[in-house]
Amino acid sequence: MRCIEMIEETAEHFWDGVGCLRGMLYRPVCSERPVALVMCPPFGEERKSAARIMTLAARALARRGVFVLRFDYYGTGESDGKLSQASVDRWLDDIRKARKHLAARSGVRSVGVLGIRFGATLAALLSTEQAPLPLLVLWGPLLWGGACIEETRRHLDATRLVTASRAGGLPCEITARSGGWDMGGFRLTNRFARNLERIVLPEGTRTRAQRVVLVVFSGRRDVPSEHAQLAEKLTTPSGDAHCLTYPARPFWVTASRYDPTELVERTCAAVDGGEP
Amino acid sequence: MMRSNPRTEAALPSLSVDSCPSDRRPRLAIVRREVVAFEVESSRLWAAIDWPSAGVDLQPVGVVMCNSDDGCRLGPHRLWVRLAERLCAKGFVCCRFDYRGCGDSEGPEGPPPGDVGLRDVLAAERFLRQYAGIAATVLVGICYGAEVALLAGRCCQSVRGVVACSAGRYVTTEGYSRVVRHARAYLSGYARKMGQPATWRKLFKGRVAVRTILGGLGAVLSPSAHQRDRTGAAGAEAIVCGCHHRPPSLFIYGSADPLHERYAHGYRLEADEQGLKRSFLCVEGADHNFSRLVWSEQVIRAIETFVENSTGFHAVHRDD
Repeated sequence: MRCIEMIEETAEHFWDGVGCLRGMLYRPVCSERPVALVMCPPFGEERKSAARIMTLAARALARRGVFVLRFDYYGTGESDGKLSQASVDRWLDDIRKARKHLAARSGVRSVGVLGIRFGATLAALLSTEQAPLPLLVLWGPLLWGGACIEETRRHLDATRLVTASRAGGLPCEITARSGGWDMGGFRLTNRFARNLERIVLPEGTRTRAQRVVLVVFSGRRDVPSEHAQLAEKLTTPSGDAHCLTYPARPFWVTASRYDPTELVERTCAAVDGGEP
Repeated sequence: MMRSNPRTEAALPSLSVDSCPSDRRPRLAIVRREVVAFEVESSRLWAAIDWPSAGVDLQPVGVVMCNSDDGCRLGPHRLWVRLAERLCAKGFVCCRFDYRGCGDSEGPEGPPPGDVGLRDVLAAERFLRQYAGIAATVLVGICYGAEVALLAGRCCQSVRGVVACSAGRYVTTEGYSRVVRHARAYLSGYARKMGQPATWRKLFKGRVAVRTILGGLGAVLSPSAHQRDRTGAAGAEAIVCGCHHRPPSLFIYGSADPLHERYAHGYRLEADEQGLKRSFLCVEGADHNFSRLVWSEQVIRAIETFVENSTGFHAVHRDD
């Protein structure tokens, strides 16, 4: 355990029935708010690119009194298991378990979810469940699950622009032997890829969360209509939704360092109910 | 020489340790993972220690994995996690850590300069030896991590070998400056591709993440990065100055990495001139990060073989 600027950071693990899920807990020391957040990471190489931002954002939130648990889904990051054994349903269940774990560790009953990229997509799906989420924060959600594969393909194509022509084959291709996908070094099963393709937001969502904060990374001033529609659909009739565009390059694709202070401040302002 | 695995017999220490309760451990697990923190120059670095599971004898050599300067301890496409699992199955304890200011670790923001990365690797190596109770290590690195691993190998007698994947010449001041080298290689690569109709088709279809390219170019052309690298390089060279340990090394490159020919050639020349024990593997068609399963599998197998052989290696000492 370590106290940095009035935050305690501890490595956490919890059991998902087959293996350990691992993460980090960021605990505020001085002030505490009556809300805690489970941070759901992106998937694939975006998880690596977002690693530092997730840490900085979690620390910034903890400094504002919010308990944060950042964890990895089964078969990803530090958690046990192989990606080939994972499924979207299992990952949704992982988020539920993470919420329970955070509630137990923090003593806070109101546990929301902060999702990033595909993590935001999963969080949006989770919010359609019977028990309403008190808080749902979505950073750059993918509106279509299959975009995970498509985005990876685009980034690898960008990389291949500078590689020699003798690099053979497409980076994302169906490998006949295993019957699965090689997504830039991540092995996806066909079943998992099909599951991803079936996820379509906002069509597949209903109203459940009490408060939604949706951040779209865009140079545009207005929130794209499909994102605004998503936020509306995810919010209970008595709840409220904040949509904001963040005029910066997405941190999950940038090679240079990224200061998340403003992003966190605007998110927190929206969480508090003020003007972002 | 092998000995029993102390972590499967004794209770785990209480230092920021994360581990599965033994009664709930997965039956097929080949690795027991702890997330721990250790201190370097008043900054806490977080590391994952992967232990061989119960029933596997602990080898006397551990493995430290060093990332590129923009990554985290998972490695590109979780390469280090997969590698650690494979090595643990053979009894090698592994340490994956975050440099200062990267991943979960504390420290000033930004990619670590060469001297900082080098000190972090040396600290991680020392930490693993003490924590696991082993006498020697093999360092495995990629890109920036490969180069700091090579430098760390020079000044640490307990390092039995170094595996350098896609190693460049970023950390030392030898040769071209990083900015010139990098920018020249990237720009020439882009220029070559712009002459191909397929590139334009991809661009018009939006199949290329242009922002990624611009971000990457911005990072390598940034004056602050240049200054940081010069200062870090001088610091790193000061640390290794007078160190004559030369452990055996394996260099792994992807044939499609635009930088590989220049750097591999340089390291070969150095080996020939100084009589160093170095071997080279070129993964056909692979890119800088070996970002396809078939490529990463080749890399993992080569590292497995190297680490297994490292228990019998004798380091080369030079008197100059």
